[in-house]
Amino acid sequence: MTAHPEALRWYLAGAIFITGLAGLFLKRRAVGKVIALNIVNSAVVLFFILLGSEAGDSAPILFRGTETPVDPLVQALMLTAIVVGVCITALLLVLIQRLHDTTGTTEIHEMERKLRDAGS
Amino acid sequence: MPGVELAAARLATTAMTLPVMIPLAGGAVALLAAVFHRRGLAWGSALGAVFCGAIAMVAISLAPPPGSSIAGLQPVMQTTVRVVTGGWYETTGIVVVMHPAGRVMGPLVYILALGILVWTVPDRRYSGVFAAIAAITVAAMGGVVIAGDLFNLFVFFEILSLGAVLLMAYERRGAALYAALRYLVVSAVSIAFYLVGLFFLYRATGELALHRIAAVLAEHPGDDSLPVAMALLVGGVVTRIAVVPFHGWLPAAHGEAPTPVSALLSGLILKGALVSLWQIMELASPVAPRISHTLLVLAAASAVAGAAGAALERDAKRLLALSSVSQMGFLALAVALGAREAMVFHAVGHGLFKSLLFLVVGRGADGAKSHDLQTMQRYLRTRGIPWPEALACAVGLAALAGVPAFSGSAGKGLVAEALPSGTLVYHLLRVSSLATMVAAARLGRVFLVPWRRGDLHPASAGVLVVFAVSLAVHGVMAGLPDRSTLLEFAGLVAAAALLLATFRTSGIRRVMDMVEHRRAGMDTVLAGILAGILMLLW
Repeated sequence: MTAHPEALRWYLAGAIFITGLAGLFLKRRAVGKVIALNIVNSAVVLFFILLGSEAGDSAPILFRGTETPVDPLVQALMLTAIVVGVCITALLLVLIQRLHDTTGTTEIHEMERKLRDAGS
Repeated sequence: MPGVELAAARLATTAMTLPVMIPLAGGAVALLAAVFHRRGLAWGSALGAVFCGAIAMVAISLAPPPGSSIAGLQPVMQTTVRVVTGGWYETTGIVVVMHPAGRVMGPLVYILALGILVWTVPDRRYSGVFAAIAAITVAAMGGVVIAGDLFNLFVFFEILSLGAVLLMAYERRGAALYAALRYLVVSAVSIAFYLVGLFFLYRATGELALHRIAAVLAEHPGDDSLPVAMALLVGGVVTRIAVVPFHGWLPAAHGEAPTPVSALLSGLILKGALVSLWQIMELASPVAPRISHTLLVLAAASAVAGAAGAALERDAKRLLALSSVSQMGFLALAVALGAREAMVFHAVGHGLFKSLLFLVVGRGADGAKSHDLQTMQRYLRTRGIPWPEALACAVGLAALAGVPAFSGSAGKGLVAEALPSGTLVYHLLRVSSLATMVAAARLGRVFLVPWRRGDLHPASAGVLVVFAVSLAVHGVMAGLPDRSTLLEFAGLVAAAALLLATFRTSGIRRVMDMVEHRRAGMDTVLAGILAGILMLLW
């Protein structure tokens, strides 16, 4: 595989996605999973931004002389996606805090065990 | 005066978004009222907004396409209306769509939500904040139904899951908080896959609006990345409707949520996503026909696995939740087969009877302070049940069990008709019906208790009676059952009775213990989603 600079960017973004996904499965603590989720989201944002940058190389603000702006649509989309991601992260952290208040742990398996014991 | 005409046209296109805007605004007002501890005002504005939203939804679902001469209810319901909101240019504006499936599902979602909220009002535990979040959740659900492009669909799905999670965690019990956390993680992961799918699709077509993507795909169908894009999009949406193996989050989420939230979640939140799945499958089946086959197999698997799980469950609310997995299997099967009428009919029936059953069972479980079937039975024997609940329970259980002339049986019959008879899937559906009957019988036994005037509020009683009557009418609408249906039902009853007899043996008890102690953890649920995505990609 030749390390073409254009292709390399895609591989790096892909690697970030896989890293986040792996973290989601391998992390045992709830906060770790939230961070992994944010990494996955960042990778998705990178995918779109890279796609938009294929259309041009300057900011999508049309002054005289900007001939080839990047795709502005994907930037708008990703702004929305980032905002949504922040909301989700905030709510996840609140839930984890509440669960920590109830069960005294942020470790997922421990949490599940304690809740099961409390239920039965 | 062209200016006036233009303004009128803009107004008309904006009217399509009213079902979303009104509950959203009402939710905001309710939130403000809740901040000042005005419970009455908060509930009033939330209910009023959902009511007006429902009227707007019914109105736009009856609207013929602009400029067409189609008249009559039946033909109009078969058409798709697509408008660009606010009078923007077609290339830049946001597209809102009224799909034939959405024409029934949209009003269904709003009317059920209104009923469930009216049922909730008398219960003082649910504050103004609850009303506000519920109204916003309904708005998001309406948005999912009318979204005409894949990115808005993503946004509404996210609002929907935020709202659903807040409602689920409302009581702040540990188990419910954990179920909410897991649901949120699962929905965030599935939506990440959805976005990656959207990325591939946007790269291949350069479009986001569903009809424009379809137009581009019709001209150049050959791109290699399209099956990948479609598989990821379908995987993201299918997680929302909990088809096996994407279903791991559902039993806990629906089983641990507060009573009205369980009813909202399985009565309608599952239904909104069906319209999206239908629209995405319309795009996917021409370019990636294999996805329909995979969906068919997964749907049949959920029909059987969900029903079997429900039959073995001791927790009353989880039993209902698992039966939702089974019913969603039937609905996804209808989507995979392209049987729209069957899907819509069964979705209406399932929405009605599952909401009803969750409301009645949930109130019983709240009173008994336990979801365990036996504990609930002991409690209900001393409390008795008021007649509206008895009526609701009888009609709901008859529909669930598939008694002929009730809507469950008719809906499942319509789905099965779309299948070639004698195939393996056809027989699997019978096994599923049998298991569902066993589950319904086990649940029904709990409610075989004396009638008594209870403490049911007239508003709640009214909602139960209206839902039960609509459910009964809906069942009869499909026509009276013929002889073969009755014979098949008799056979199923006999088989179910035999199966129920084996439930007293120690072997089945041991299996039930195992089901109770082997609840899936978060990692198992996530692994299920990954496995499902891989199956769709394969």
